[in-house]
Amino acid sequence: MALIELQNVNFPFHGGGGLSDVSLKIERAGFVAVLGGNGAGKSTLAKILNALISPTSGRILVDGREEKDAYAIRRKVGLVLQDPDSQMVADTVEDDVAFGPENLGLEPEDIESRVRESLQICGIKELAGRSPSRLSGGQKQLVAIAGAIAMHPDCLVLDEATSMLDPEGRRMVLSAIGRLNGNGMSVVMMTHDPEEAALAKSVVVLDHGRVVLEGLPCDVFGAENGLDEFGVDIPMVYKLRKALKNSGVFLDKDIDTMDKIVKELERRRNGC
Amino acid sequence: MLRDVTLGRYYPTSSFLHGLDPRTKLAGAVLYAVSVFIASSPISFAVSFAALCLLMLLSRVPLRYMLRGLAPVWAVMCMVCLLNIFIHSGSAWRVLLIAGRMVELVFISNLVTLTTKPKSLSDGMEKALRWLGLFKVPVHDLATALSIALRFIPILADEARHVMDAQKARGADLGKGSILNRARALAPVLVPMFVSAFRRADTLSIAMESRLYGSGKVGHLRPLAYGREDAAAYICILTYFAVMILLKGAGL
Repeated sequence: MALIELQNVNFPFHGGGGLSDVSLKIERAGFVAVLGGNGAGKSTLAKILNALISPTSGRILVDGREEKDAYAIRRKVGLVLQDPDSQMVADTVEDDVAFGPENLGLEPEDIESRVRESLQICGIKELAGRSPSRLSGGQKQLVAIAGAIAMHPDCLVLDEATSMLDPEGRRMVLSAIGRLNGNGMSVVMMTHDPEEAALAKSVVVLDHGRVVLEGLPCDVFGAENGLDEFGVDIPMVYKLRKALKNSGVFLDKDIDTMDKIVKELERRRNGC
Repeated sequence: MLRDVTLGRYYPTSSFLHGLDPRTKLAGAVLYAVSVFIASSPISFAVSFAALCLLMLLSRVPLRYMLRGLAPVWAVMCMVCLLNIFIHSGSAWRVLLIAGRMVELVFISNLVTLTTKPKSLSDGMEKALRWLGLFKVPVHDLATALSIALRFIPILADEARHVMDAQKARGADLGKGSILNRARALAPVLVPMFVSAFRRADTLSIAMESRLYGSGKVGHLRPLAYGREDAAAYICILTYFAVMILLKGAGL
């Protein structure tokens, strides 16, 4: 049974960014990348998954049951936004991470243990007493992730959480997401970066509020026609695979990283 | 100009004042403000000023740091003094007293924010004003709004600087010419500031709601509790206040 399931969800929005007839399943411990250009509806989808807005029609199932209580959904789904500065509530890292658990009405000891645990998982234990203004962009996003997981959600939704970061910050955030997913957290990652999307277990391509492609990264990115018509690029690896294919070198489907391609080509050369 | 805003900023050191419960500091500041208006003679003013100096020493915040943030306040103070001289044609002592009172009020409130983290300040206000909840005043929301406002002062100040730099890079002439011209030149800075402040507020509200703000439950990471220092501080505050009243009663 899927953790969260959207059935024929509609959310009309003038001037782009709405959703029409979106159906989507998020499995437990799944890792879904939602890829799309500007105005494709990624942020709207993120807000719907978090019950911040409710669809005009369609159903949202949580653990197979239709859930109407927004707070119950928000408790299960954590949200991390794009702008690192604007999503910090408090003036120290600790207090910011504590914001969620405080709103759950927990006892001080429970709040503290959740804060410590979340900071530990995100690898930023040493930042506990620091002011957010003295952190790098990547560190701020890790704090935002810690703040979300302190609520003990089953699913984490990231709305372009890396798009304002430098390469180092992006690496830090992506590796934290990978670790969380490895520990059984479901992850939904909205992005316009195909390289990031390729890290997920499955990819959904959104265009003008519709799901236009869905599947494993190798199937979505390996599609014959490419994704140009939906306003998104494909990862470097898949471009290379396509170029090799055009010049008569056919590779197996599971060769989906640069390293693997290099190894395979070396193997073939030595084999000849 | 904006870079130097220290109003509402927290200055982290470990002093006696920093360690006090925020409620103690708020109560102290309120009583002090009342005493400032009670004091009208040179002697009682000197006592209240001495108390202020003592507190500033106790806070271990460098004097220069406090003074730097008050630049915009000086202008207001000069205005008030001038108005007093010309309109009320007050005596020299009267004008001096009014200026002195303003200095004291500004410094005491500044001391509270310099020695108290915005978060504990809002926690303190929330707990001290909880009885207002009986009259359906949303105390928790107001306290949260206060701490967020304090947190975003430096962020918006930084942003104002970016906007001004961007305008300057395109040839805008900020901070030159007559006061009227300078005020006029601020409009293209203020408009984008407003837009971005609203955008930030929107994002922040999403971030807060997704973390269950408004669910009706409230917990605290560090619940406030009075310590022994607070008892000592309350005794000092009340003694000071009693002295001020006695001085007033004695006609001094």
